[in-house]
Amino acid sequence: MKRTLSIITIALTALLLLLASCNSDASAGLFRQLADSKEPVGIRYKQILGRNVAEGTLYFLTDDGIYSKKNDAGAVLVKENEKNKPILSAYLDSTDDVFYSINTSDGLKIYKVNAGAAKDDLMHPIGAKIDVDQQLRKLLPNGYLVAQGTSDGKRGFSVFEWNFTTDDSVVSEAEFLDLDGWSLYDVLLPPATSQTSTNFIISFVSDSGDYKHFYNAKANVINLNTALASFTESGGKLYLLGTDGRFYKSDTPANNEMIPTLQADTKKPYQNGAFLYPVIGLASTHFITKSNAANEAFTVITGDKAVSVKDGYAKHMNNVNIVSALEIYPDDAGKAKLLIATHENGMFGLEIPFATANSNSNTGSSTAAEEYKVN
Amino acid sequence: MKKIITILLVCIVVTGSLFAATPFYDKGNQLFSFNVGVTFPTFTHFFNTKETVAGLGEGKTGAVLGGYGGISYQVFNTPYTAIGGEIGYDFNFSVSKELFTAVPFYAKYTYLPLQGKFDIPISAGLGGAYIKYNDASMMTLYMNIETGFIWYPGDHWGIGLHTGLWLIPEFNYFDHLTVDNALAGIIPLTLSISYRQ
Repeated sequence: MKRTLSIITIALTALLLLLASCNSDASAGLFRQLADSKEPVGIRYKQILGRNVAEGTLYFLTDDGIYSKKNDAGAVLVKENEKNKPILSAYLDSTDDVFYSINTSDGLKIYKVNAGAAKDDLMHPIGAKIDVDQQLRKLLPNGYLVAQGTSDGKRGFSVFEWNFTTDDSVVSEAEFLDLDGWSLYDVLLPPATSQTSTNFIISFVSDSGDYKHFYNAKANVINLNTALASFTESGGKLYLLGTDGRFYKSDTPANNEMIPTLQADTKKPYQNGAFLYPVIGLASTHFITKSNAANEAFTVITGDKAVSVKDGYAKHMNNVNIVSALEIYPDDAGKAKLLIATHENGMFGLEIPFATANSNSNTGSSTAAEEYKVN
Repeated sequence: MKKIITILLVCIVVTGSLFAATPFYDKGNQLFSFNVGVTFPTFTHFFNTKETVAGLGEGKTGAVLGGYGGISYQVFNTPYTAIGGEIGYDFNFSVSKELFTAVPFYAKYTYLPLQGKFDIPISAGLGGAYIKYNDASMMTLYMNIETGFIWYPGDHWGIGLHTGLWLIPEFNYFDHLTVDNALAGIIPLTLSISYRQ
């Protein structure tokens, strides 16, 4: 009898332990994740290209192609993807000309939309600093182009601005030469102003997993051997966010090495091009970030603290994947308005109050998906 | 109206006669069942925020109609009651097209007030369930109550329709997750094929 009781006790204890086994790796409770799930809106955004402010027209790139849209009107197709040739990225210039990149058997090609014509215009951008085997790698949202090739027998890269009007000359160019053994990792622009910013960080990775980063020019070395997810600038300082969630601060360089110092560790994962936006609060600057952890809205870094903000301006940001952002304005009343495009959950208009940006009782607001206003 | 009252009276009389009938089962009889059907995520109550979300879809339980399949075995310990167990598999897609799954396994106690050509089983179950969604998974408790109606055209094989309520609590022990402790309710609607001997 005693033995039977012992066996029953052990079995019940084991069962209890089994039923108490947990969810330790979860980002949120299981049923909370389920209740917070969001229905895809049927539009898969890839990039916000920019606006024609005078006409109140927004341009954006989706999985189907490039569209324009005015307030309270339907989206108008500007350029539909061709079969097996999806548009990878695009650029809207100040005259509403749209340039886009696609992969072809001859490498990356840049076209200008030629409305009404049978074919769009093929552009011929070529950097001046790389003289052998030059291949375009990327068209950036600000219109800059990234090229790779060989210079003086060694691997080199350049980031250059092309004169798309005349299609025959380089406006400006930064060279990143003598990079044998290094591959292009990413070129980052400040999110929300990526359409207009002329500042960038270009990152390279070696076969052994080391990283090199340069700010605008090869002379401006960022001495940080980690993968960068995003960066932004505020108050004359450069702020860097690693894919591992560490957040660094650095003086903006003047042709010298930059040694970032760790400001905060969010302990969250971030993907390349992660959303990062600075607002100046009452006493300090708040950096609004979006990690790629499931069931998280914004993580706001203030000083060395990182807090989760899910209400107010962040109320629709839980479980979304931000792919692009556009700053509409920061105003004198201490608010910023942004458009936030997500991969599957639509586009939102966010109004962020500077002073309370790091609080869940912030006075900001967010439109519902696809109910944003262009201006 | 008269017709409805007549039908109801007939039902009551027939039911009463079934109650009065001699028990069909004996102690030691066995019952095997295969169940398949649909499940309706009905509500989720979050203990910390005292928030209850109800219904299918976004802003509610976040899940949509799903499916369930299970097998059960019971043996009669008295002519009117049976004990046994059931194991099954439930799935529901969330509105974001992610899959929620639950594998309940539980002990079952069934009372059959009506039995014979027609059985009406009323069951209560208690056990565990392995549940998974997104990056969360856990072994947790599982409880249910169910009732149904089974028709036996012959001596052994029967088909039935069942419904009830499942309750699945989620108790997290990590600080960052305890705020999400919850109780979920799911209503199943299943068809069964039963074999008794």
